[in-house]
Amino acid sequence: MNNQVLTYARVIIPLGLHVLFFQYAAFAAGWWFIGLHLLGLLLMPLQSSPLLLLLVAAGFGSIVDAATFEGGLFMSSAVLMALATPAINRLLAPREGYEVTDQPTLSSMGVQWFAIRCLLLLTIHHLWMFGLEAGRWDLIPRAIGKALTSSFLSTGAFVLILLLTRRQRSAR
Amino acid sequence: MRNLWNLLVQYHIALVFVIFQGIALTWFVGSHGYPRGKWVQRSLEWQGEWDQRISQWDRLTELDDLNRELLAENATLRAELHTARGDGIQSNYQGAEVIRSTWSSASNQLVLNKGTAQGVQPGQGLLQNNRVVGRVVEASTNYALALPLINASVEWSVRIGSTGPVARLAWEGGDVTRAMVYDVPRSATFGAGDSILTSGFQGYFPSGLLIGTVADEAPEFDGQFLNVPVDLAADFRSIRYVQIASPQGQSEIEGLTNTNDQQSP
Repeated sequence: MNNQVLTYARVIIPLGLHVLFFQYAAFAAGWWFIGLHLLGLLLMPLQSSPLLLLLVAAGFGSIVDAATFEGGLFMSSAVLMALATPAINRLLAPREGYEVTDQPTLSSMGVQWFAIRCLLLLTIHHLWMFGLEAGRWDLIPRAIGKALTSSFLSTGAFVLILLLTRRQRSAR
Repeated sequence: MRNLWNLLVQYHIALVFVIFQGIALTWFVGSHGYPRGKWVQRSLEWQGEWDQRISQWDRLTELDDLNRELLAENATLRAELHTARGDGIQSNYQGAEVIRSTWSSASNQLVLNKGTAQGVQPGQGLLQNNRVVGRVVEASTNYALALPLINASVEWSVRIGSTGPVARLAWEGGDVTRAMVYDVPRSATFGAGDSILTSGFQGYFPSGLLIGTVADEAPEFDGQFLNVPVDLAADFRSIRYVQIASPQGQSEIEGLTNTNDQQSP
């Protein structure tokens, strides 16, 4: 498959799966929310401009909001995550910087890099989302607990999904 | 002007972020809890159709048909029971299937497979085996959106026992089996296990329907009032079929209320 098509597919397919099948995928009495559309945002190319990240995040968030009647909750959280993405990318950049061919995937950057980046960005997203959803100060400790639990478990799930779906290199 | 343009170009990312956050938060504040408007209806229609298709995949057809028949029969019998009892406000009932239900957030909701085409209107109450579940807030042609008791943004008028004081019930989030009745006079006498019933004042339900029972836990003191913990009767985790109650004479009562409002000085 053409690499560019693959890049678009990696971003779009998780959103499609989330909207059609997993929009209420919350487990452990709501303590684990898995937002598959976030995997699409995490897999946006490393060279994407901050403006493009914000636009795509706003689009993804609003689509999920429209599908789940959450009215701006996912859009707001996704936009915040997109704003933080370039900073996190710089923080985790190799000493010599990213190669042009580097992709934010397990096969390109390794499990450790992907897991740390995923955990940091999901934590930012989930803290904002659960905090907004709580809506009351007395529910904030619970929201933080949910955000951290969801971030850790979703990171594990995303790593697993990418491990199971990564392309095998053809033998020469 | 040129300086302003340069400033905008320099901080365009921050500006775009603020604009998107503004849109998202306005949307969130404006629609959370009580979604309104055409787009909600369209979205509800589309989602309802999709969810119904998904749920059809794993449906056991024979059991499902049997359930529907029982539900319709139950609705008819319940309406007859109210007539036979001579209740002040009679209600019509019809069965509906819950095709989507959430219970893990603070603003939980239910989507039903019946809409305005079947006579469902906002403001009608929902029951599960004669236990109060929630009320309809939005209806499209074939689907309806309802807010259950376990939605932190809604309050319900309740009575403790059949002759006790009227108070307000609200869910505080978290445990879906537990809610709180506020503003109970300290003089009220009640005990653990006493019924919490609908007062009928809000017009969603007839009076006397079971909402829950007083929990075996000490009430909280709040000035001249008590806050009483309640075990909810409906099981929100396993909900699948509900009955929609439409009390008769609501439009007449609302007409009277509106007339009175207009005549007030």
